[in-house]
Amino acid sequence: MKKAEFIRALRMELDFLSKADREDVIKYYDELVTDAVDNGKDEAMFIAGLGSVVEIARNVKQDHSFLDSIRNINFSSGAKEVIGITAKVLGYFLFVILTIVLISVGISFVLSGTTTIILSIISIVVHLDAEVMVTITKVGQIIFGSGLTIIGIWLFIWYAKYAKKFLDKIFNKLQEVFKDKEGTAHV
Amino acid sequence: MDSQLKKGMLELLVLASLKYQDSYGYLIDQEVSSVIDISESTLYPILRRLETQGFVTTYETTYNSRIRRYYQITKAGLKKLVESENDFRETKKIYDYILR
Repeated sequence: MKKAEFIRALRMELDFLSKADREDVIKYYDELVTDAVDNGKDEAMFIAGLGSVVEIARNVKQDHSFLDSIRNINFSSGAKEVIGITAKVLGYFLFVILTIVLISVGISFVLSGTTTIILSIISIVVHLDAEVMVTITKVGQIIFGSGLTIIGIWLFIWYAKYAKKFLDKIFNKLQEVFKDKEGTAHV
Repeated sequence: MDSQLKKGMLELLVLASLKYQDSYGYLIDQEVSSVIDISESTLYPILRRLETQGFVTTYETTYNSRIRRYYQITKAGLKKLVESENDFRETKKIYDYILR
């Protein structure tokens, strides 16, 4: 079989491929045979040594499905990366929201706490002639205000100390989950 | 040899043939077939596979006023070769025991 005939037969056998993939195979064999002949090989004998076009097509077909599966894995790990990034962005978004909420709650607690303390002290000082019961109420308000203030300050400290760590932990967990999924995908 | 094993060996042989210099289809074919018995029809899928997996890249140059595709090993390809050396040491231990 001469090269032209071989190429024509091979092209017919490879009709299951897309045009680009088919021409890639053809180009390879065309070059192979040409180089063999350039190196002094007998054209017909070299082509005979390549095996039948049916066999070549079968080999290509087997590997074609393999290549497809590789492409799918690449795609899914790419998709996982996107999901990972989405989770991270969402996480940071929640982190920012939580920060804003905590800070505003903290500020309002501290403000209302200190205001209660100051107002109570003033009302005690101003109403010197007030009854004992009223004074007790004011003292109660001072304690309540102090409590609010302490909670507010505590929220600030907790946020500064643990919130970052806590969220980092969640991120790590998320990443582990994604890694696990990737691992099973490769098996 | 088991066909799956042979496929793996062919991949390594092709990579090894590209270890020191870039090469093209026919030359790779000649080098590999000097080591292992192949029907040439199996090398195209191997090369495609290596390319898709990122172990080799290709480029085209003109030779004798026709286009020839050259294959070049990548860093990942070289790494795979090194890994195969470690695999070989492990396999050798096993066969040393089998053939004792």
